[in-house]
Amino acid sequence: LEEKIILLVEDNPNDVTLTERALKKSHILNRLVLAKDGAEALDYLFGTGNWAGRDLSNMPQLVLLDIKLPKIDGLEVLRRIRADSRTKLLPVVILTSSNEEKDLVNGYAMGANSYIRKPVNFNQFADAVRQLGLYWLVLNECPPCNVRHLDA
Amino acid sequence: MKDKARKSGIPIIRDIPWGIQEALKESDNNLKTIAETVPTGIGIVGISDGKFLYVNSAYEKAFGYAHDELIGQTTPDIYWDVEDQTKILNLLKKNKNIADYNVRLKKKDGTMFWGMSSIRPITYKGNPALLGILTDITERKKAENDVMRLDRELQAIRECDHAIVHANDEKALLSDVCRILCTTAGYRLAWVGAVKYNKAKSVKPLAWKGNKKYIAKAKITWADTERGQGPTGLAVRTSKTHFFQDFATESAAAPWRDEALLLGYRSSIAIPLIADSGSVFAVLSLYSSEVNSFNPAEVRLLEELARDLSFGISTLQERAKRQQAEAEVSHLATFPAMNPMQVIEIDISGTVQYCNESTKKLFPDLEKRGIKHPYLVGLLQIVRTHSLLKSKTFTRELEVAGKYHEQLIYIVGDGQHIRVYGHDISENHQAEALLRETSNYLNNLLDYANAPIIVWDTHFRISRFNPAFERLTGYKANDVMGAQLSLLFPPDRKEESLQQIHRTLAGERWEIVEIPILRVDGEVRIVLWNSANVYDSDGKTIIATIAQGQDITERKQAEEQLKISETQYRRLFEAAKDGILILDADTGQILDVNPFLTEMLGLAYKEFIGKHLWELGYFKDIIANKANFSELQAKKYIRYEDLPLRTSDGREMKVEFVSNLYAVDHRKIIQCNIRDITKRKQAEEKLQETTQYLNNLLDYANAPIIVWDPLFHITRFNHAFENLTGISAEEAVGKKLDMLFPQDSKVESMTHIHEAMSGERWEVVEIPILRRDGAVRIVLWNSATLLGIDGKKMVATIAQGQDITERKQAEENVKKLNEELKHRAAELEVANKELEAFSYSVSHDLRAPLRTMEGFSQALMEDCSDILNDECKDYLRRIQGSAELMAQLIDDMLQLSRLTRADMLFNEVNLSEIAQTILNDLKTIQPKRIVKFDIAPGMIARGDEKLLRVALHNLLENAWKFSSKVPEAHIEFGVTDHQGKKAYFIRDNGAGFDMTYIAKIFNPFQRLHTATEFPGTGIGLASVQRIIHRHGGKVWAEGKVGKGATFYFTLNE
Repeated sequence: LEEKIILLVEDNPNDVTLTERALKKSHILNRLVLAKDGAEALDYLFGTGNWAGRDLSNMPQLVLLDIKLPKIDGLEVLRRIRADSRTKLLPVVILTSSNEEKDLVNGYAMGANSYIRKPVNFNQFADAVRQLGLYWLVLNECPPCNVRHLDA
Repeated sequence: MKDKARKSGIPIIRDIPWGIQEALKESDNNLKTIAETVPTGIGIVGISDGKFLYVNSAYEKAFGYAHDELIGQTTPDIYWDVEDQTKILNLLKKNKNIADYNVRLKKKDGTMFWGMSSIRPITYKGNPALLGILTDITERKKAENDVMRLDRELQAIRECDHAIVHANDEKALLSDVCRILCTTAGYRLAWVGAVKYNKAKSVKPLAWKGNKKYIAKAKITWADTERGQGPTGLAVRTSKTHFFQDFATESAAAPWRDEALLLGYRSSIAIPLIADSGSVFAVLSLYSSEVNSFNPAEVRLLEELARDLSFGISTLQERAKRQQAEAEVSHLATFPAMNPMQVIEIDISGTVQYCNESTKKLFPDLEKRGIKHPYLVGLLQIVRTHSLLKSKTFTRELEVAGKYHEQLIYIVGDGQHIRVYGHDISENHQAEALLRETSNYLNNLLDYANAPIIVWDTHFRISRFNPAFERLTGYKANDVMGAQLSLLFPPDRKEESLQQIHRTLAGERWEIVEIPILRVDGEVRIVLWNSANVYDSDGKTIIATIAQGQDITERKQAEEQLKISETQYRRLFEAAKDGILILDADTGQILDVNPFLTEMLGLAYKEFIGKHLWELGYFKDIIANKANFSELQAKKYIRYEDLPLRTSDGREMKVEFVSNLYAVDHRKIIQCNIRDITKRKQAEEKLQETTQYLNNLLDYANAPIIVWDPLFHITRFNHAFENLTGISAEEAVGKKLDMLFPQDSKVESMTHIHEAMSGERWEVVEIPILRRDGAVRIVLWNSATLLGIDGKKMVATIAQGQDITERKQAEENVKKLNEELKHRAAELEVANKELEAFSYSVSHDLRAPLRTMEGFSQALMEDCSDILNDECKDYLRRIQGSAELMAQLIDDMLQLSRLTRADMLFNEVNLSEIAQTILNDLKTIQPKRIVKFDIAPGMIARGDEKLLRVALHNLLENAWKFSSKVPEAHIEFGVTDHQGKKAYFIRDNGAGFDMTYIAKIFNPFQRLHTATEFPGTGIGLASVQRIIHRHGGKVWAEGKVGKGATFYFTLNE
């Protein structure tokens, strides 16, 4: 049975903690891989840097992507995900503080599957995370994991 | 029986007892007999087929048809006038029957007769038919006609008699009579012809009424010829009345028939007018349109009229004769006493009838000796010897007592009297004697005359040759005496010259001829010959010819020259495009005028010649004016530059009138040249007008205008320029242009001008001007070069200046401001960019800590609720609340900044609809509230829909919010007028506000109520203000605590 991994790209440790707490509260026990910036996220996805040699056949079931990130920002990460055949079908949900129109438009334009603004109120946040997990990890049928086989 | 009945046309009646039948038959027979014997025509015609069923013999006779030609046949053409048939049929239709209808009918042979017809419908043999009864009334009609005509005739004669009695003039009388006969008696033509006892035996029309042309064409004579066989000719010859009863049939009428019938003359009569002596002196001829027009009664009347007329005319003639004789006598009575002529009248017996004083003086014993007087005896003898019948007058000379008298003798009209007029011609006789005496003298004269004189005999041998002729020809008289005349002619002209002489001598007068003469030295001279034949004493036989020659060789040459020059002059005169008049300088009369002038004035050549200039009516007071005329004679030249003149067709023209006086052939003439200068004058006037207009334009133009000559001297300087410079035109004109420029820019400006002028166009240049008061004005010069008529040579430059000093300064200011503005805009842009970046960070980064604070507070609450006391929990809640408020503030702030930055899209926006939607939404959120809305319908504004929606949302939400504590909330959205602009307003009856704080109400985050009273961040109205300002509008508010608030806004509509 394949493990359904969630890749959380978030630089703020407080937010990471709160996100983990919210997932836990919602009984989403999937493995959570954390990338603290855009570069780390790309390393994980493409098996480079610290993640070199990772089995790339196991791709995350969901990517939770913040926009404002050190090194490489979220939108650039998204662009690269969509540009690469190995990752272009990954469900990516933008999870950010910003509700700037610009970010929304760019996010969707880059191929985000969903855009969620983090509410300040934790209960609301927790609820959002719960619904998110439920939808993307349970309800939603993901595209076939190993897309390379198809390409080949 | 049956057949017979049918033939007789009597119906057979059956089924009747025999006895009655017999009786009927008898009655029928009786009827038939009556019908056949009465003189009245009876005819029956079937209505269905129009065929004759029965006619009696009177009927047949009336029309001249046989029985079988009518019975069973359709009605033949029996009406003279077809229209009568129609009339009768119409009458029948209308009245069913006709009684005693007078109608002209036509016989079989085509002749006309009058019938009286009665027609009624009957049943004949059981069929509908018409019974016609006809009586021939021709005779009666004719009698009626005759009576009527006689009546007219009588009336005419009465009128004629009246005319005769009152007549003064023969011709007028005759005309009257002719007129009366035509108008009253109804003749077509009446004329009176005088009988001429001449060779042609003509009849000359004296008066007429009617077609005169016919009289002329008729060429009537009273000679016994073809055209003398008419009534007129016969009347003259027989002294009796004659007539044509019908032009159409009488053979003697043949020469006039066609013409007469054409004019509708059917008969004519001629009645002779007979003088007391019994001779026919005239004929009265009348023409009638009817045949057989003249019955004996009428003729009698006309003859009576003719007698009266003859009498009238002879009376008139007598009267005229008497008057003439009286006039003659009275004339003669005054004649003799004062006349030195001898007048004597004797009868053929020699008795003196009349003798005037002169005659008595000449023959003192004439009365005493009576017819024995030798003068009278001689006179009678002379008269007798001359066949006086042939010539009634002749003259003779008579010597009485040594005096010669010329006498005119003539036979007075009746041949019974001889009248003599004589006068004394003794002086003439003396003159003749004198002449003879001078004959010798003349001979001498001939010889010594200056004029060359030659005489030749009938054989053209020279018989006299005077010394002057010797000089002319170079021959000596002795050399040429007896020689042929032709000796004197050049060989090639001999024949021609002799023929010319022959020809002229054969005529009664020898005309002056030009014959060249060959001098003995071979030179040819042109000689004008003036000659006369010399006759023998009988006055008939030519014995010689005398000729006087005139050497015209030089004159001839001069003439040739003159002719050439005349021709040239004439051509010039005829073709001149000026009017030329030649006047006699002494009389002022017009001698000649050229075609151009006749055309110009619209008068014919004839109308000029011989007239005075002022008589033409065009040039009054020109040469007529004595002062002018003497001025012309003194100066020999006069010129009028501008002379108004009116042509015959009424055109006004202006002419230049130049007169010259000079002599031609010792005769002084005036030549007037008249030139139409209307166009030139008009052009000049136009030019003057234009110049005036331009001057005014120039002087009073608002723009400063200056003109300078090619040497840069100022020639014009208008008022506006004076104002611009403070220098007067007097000061400026004539000065160099550079006087206007400030010292430091003089050279530069002049260079500028030089450069600009050398180009084709002078472009607009900016040149500073130094005012008199020392101020410098910047002037924009716009100039043009004025070229001479040749279009090449520059004559001046005109420049218009425009003082742009203020504009310049303003431009400078604007430029400066623009730069500043640009700078500011750049700064603003940077600031905006920074703000944007800031906002972005704020939205991102400011929220994260808040989330942390809130999230972990919540975590504490959840994880440690059992160890935290209530106070701690309250603190945690406060942290959470603040964090959330902070998040809200951040969002509002971002929204506000977004409103400032967002791009605007202007469209028609329906505010009413938007407001309705917003209020509906609010109602959905708080469905329990009872709020009354009043939204004015159809409020359509122009603006950015998204922004306006936000603004309305904020305002309506405020109204909703602040009226939440009122039991009957009322929200109103409408539009009103504010300083001529649409002002939208939103009014509520809620909490209102204190006007003290009105200044702060639109500041961001400004609140007038506590959050517990009414929640909010205080960003709403700030947003509204931003949006309205971005639309170029204004927003303001009115309110009172507890009494609600009203928010107004305008949009830049």
